[in-house]
Amino acid sequence: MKNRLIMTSMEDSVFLYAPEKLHEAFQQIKSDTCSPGDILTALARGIDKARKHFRTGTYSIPEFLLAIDAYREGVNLMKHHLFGKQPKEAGDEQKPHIVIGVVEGDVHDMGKNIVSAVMEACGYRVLDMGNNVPNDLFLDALTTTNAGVLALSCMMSTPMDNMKGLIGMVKKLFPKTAVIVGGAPFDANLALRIGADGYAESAIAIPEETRKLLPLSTV
Amino acid sequence: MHILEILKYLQQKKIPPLKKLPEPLINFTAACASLRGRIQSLSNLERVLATIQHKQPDRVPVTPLVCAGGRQISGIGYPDFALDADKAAGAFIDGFNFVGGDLVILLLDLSVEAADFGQHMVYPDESTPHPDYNRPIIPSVDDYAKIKPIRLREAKRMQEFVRLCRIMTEKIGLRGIVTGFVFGPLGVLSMMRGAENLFKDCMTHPKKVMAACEIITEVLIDFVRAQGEAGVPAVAIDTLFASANGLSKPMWEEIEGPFAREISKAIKEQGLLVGVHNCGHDLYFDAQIRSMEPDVISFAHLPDDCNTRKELKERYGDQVTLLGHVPTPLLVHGSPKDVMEECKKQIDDLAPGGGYVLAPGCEYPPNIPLTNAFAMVNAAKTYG
Repeated sequence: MKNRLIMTSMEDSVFLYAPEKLHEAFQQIKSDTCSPGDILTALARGIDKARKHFRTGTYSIPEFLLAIDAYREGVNLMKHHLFGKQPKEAGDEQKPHIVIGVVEGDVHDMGKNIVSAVMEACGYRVLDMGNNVPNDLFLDALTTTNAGVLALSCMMSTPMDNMKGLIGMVKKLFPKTAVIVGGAPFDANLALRIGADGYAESAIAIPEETRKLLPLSTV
Repeated sequence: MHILEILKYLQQKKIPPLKKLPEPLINFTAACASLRGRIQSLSNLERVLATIQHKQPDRVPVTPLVCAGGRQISGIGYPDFALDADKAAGAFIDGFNFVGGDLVILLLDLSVEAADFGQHMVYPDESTPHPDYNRPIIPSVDDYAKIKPIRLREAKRMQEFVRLCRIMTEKIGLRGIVTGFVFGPLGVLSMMRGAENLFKDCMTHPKKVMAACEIITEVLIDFVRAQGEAGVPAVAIDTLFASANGLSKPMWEEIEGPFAREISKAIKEQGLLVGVHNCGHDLYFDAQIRSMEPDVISFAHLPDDCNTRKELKERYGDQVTLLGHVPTPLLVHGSPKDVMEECKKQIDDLAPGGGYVLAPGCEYPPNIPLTNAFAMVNAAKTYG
């Protein structure tokens, strides 16, 4: 099968959350004629298609989550199977960094996990800190990565004071880092009032919101 | 229900099971209340009764849903609120007496049922209890089969919740309607499996999920019956998954719909009102009405088939009483003036003809000042 057809098959495998089909596509790839960049692009196209279907309501959360699983499976196959456990591809260092996590006091991380995968597929280097993350770990991560964007979420209203405090510290210590917030208790007004630079209403909106704050020519 | 039996309830300052009252009697009472409401202030109970019978009350009923927020008055921590019915009742009563409102919904937290099924829980001092997601009791799809029915009398948290219902109905008496609460079976499963895994399992292993739902539903039916026996005249079912934040509409109707129907049926068999609470986006009013035929729907966002509040009122206003939908973010960041203005808009759109209760879309944020809860009550009195 020609590489172009294989790439289309990969894209469809992600979009249609069909990991078996994905494995088959990888079996047919020859590493000397196909770059990691081509594969990542195909996988990312699959996620973007799923995202668009989610936007229109054709997909609901379960379908989107399965598409994300397929995407991650594809990335792992690429890294560990085809290209001999090379975690980084050429040009990886040039991609902008995003630090993402659920603030301390909240453990609900499904939305954050979706956003993390979507951003990764959009071409950002995502450092996912997990959930219930203490503020100092976020600050350490920003020091290490020099990330352009810090994406914070919470599902409940109770950790909001803590989040506001964290944003204040980020603004003071990392004035060039933009902060985006999301989660059930927020709207755009509240996001601004607690000091954030942007608000992502959903995983659908996050790439556009991030692009506004962090122009990325490669995306 | 015979008139003497009704009088017996009222003498004991208890609300009789409203659905067991003869329909002409309840209609007549609501019509009288509506008529009297034109010249006099109604009691909370009369006001709510007229509203749910879709008659125009003296003013719009209101509930600011001050639940765990009442801790601020009582001075208790979250673990006490979650685990001790006496202390929780104190917080609910303090919220009701201090802030006001016409009805109380006993939204304690969403982990009550899952904890009794054996899920390990975390009880933070100043935040809502939640499952320890590092130790889910359904770690794989095969573990759905390990969920076994539990006896209600051995279920500590559900028993404590039933005791809360009893204390609250005694303390509130005829001053307002106290509503029980139950998390739907998919919600309970999400606490034990993790929402992300559960969503995927609904696609990949729906039969296993449904088998677990069936077992959980048996217990939830016992739970709502016990709440009814404790004296609450209404029980709300939380059906978050019936929204764009959950499953697709056909999938919800297939997986949780039949079980939600059974729970609703058990509530109705006791003569109680059925409420639905769903704070998801684009929720499925039509599917939930088909499944549960509720009397009241508490909502935070517009349903998937309505673009405006007026459209919502037109389409569903004669089928259910609408309860909502002041946005949580506004309660957090808005001034009392902002909140009152929003309440006015909602009252203007939803109140005409009865069938509307002013309320937040979800529980009043528990750790923010209560100022905006007062603003809501004030708005109902001013504009309602």
